[in-house]
Amino acid sequence: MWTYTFRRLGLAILTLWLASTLVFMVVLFIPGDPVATILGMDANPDVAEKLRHDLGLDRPPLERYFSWLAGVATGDLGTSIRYGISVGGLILKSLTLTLPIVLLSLMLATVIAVPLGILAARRAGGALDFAASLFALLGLALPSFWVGLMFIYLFAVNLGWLPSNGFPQKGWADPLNALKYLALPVLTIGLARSALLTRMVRGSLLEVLSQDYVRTARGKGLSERVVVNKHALKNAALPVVTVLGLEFAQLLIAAVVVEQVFGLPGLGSLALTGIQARDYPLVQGVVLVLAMFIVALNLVVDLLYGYLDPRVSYG
Amino acid sequence: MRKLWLAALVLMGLAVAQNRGGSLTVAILAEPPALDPTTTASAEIARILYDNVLQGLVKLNAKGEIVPALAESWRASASGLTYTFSLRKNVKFHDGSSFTAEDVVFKFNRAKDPKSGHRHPEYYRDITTVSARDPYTVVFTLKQPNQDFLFNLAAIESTIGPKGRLDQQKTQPIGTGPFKFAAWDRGVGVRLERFDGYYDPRLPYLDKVTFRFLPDPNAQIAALKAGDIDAIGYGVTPENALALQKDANFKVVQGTSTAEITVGMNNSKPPFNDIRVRKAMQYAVNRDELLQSVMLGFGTKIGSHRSPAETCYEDQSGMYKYDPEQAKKLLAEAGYGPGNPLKFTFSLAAPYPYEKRIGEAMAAQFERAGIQAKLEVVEWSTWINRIFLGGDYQMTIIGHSEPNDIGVYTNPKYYFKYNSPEFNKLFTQYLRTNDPKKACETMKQLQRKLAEDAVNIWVLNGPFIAALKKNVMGWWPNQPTPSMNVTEVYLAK
Repeated sequence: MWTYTFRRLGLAILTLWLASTLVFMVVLFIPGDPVATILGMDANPDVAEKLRHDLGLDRPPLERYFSWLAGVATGDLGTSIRYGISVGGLILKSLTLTLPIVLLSLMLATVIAVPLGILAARRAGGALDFAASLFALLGLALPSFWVGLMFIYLFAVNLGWLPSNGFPQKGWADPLNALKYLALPVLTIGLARSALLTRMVRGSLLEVLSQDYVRTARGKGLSERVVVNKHALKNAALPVVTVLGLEFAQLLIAAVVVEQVFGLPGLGSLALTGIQARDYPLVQGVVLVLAMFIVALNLVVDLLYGYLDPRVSYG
Repeated sequence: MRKLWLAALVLMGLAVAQNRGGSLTVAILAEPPALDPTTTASAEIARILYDNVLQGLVKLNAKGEIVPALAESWRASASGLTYTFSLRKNVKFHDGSSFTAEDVVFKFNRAKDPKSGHRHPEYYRDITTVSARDPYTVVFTLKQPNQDFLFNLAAIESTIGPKGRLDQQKTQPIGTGPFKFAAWDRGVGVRLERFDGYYDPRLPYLDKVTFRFLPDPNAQIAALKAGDIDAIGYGVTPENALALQKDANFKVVQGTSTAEITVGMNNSKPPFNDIRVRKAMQYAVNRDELLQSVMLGFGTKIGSHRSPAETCYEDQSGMYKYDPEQAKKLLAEAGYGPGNPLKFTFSLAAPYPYEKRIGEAMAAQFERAGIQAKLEVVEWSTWINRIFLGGDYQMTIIGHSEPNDIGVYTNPKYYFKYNSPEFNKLFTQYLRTNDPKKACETMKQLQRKLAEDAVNIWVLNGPFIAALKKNVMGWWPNQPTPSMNVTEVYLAK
């Protein structure tokens, strides 16, 4: 297993290098210019020239690429063109918001989806199954920016229980207060994600429940509870874990819609700003960090397979 | 009698209600990239800091007039070549240091130097020397008279910080305004606090002002209704404004801005290098319909490149009355007809929903005159580079929000590609005259000339729409320059 892990790590570094090189090239080819976005429509050409030089944008792309790569190797992601401060710092700061949102959302989604999916699978075709399907359908169909707004109207405007937007100045120094600000975004994302997950749990469990070993277990006279919880669930969890891993990586960026509605400066918003401002170092930094998460999560998911399904071996 | 009563009530209201204290949270749509207006272009910088934190020798008031700020008074010589400014004496910067003529001299020597990184050296091009006669008198000498000199001194770029303080201004601006900068929570907001050392002891009324970045207009409305913010500074959508007007807890401020929503035409390339075609386009546009349908009645019709929020404005919107038949006739003269319809690409900039919608509605109007516009949506950076800087387009639409910017038409390389020696001559007359009255007349002639040449289609003055809690008083009714001026805002009890 350790050799496997090490081999995977080597592969991961290669993947990261490929991803970052690809992004560097893509960013080079999209039209646009950070200087134009900094100085605006009425930019003075002399000033623009000077700024381009100061930002090092007049250097040849290859030179810029290698100096960036050298920085990355030493853990320095460079300086944001738009904000003029360290990219690493900006990303870390945004992650203090985005990671809790994504983690809590997926936790919420799991807490809702697993029992609901099991119930739906055990009573497939019944009223509860129908209700769960309806919930899943709504969760998938309703756009999150709209759901978010509706939650704001319900919980912030009408009931006045929760703040409508933003994040407290003191941040996580007062965790309970911080959580209050994250409640609505987490609810918005979590409910939508639980919809998909409910379908996954239900489908996967139904498939497992129709297999021979389950029939054998039932034939031994085990209670339905033991059959589902002890024998079927672990196997049914395989595809669900895969989806959860993918969801996590996706949400880091996809939460941007919800971030905009709630005025939260997360990773997705940072990426969006970076792209709009043609802030090359920022975009590259965000993509690199994202790629790191995806590679790491894939590794975790693969290792979890071994635990969930002993047939998977890492020889 | 009723009027008298009203006046009495208003006066009583003012006397009772101009309370000191309280805090205000204002939502704005975007975060500025930095806070130094001399190095970064962003209307958000001006919205947050103009007059609130940063001040110059003179400033624009809510009516668009140039009034004293750090200069108590000024005198121009008869030739218009020397300006002498008397500075206020008891002015302190937010870091406690005193404001003197040295700060002014440093500022403008830097500003006029193209190598200093200051954003608009051309504003100060005509300044030959700036010197301190004594600690409270500054003398500017100019190469030639410049009618826009004082206007440029009132711009956000001309605000003055402590001598020698440059890089720190980007993140921690220090000025002389009634509010001092307290903190910038990246992605969340900028906080200001009252400055106790302000030279006008009456001001400010508020203790704290927070500008919150909330990029979603609907979320702004929700936050206002939830009580998490007190004001939406600008950019309330017409739909939301209509809804808020019916709500007794809020009030909607509706005024003019400096934005001319302009349909730019490439005057150097077919088909719009033909004035008959450009005039036909003018007749094909029904502004009233656009105003009512897209803007729900918010906005003001315009017909040239100046805003009703500015001084010396002349309405040209009546020059070409909506007349599709006249448009067809002109197009026929230019060689277009049913067999050979006028076709072109109309580029819409993605980040501006209202300009986009106006463009779409206009394309439908064009069709009634037999004109076929192919719509294309382009992303912002592409718009700047390909269309604005590259001039590679046929027709586009954008709001020009820079104030007093009719001078861009003297630049034949500007993306409209308009080149008129007559206009340039007129503009020079305006710029070099010494007589403000004559300058004003010439400014009107300039607006007329552009409309006559049908350079572009100027559709509307973009409305300035803000929404406030009922008790927020003293908000600027118009935007002669981008500014969420809170210096005299107070909360009624």
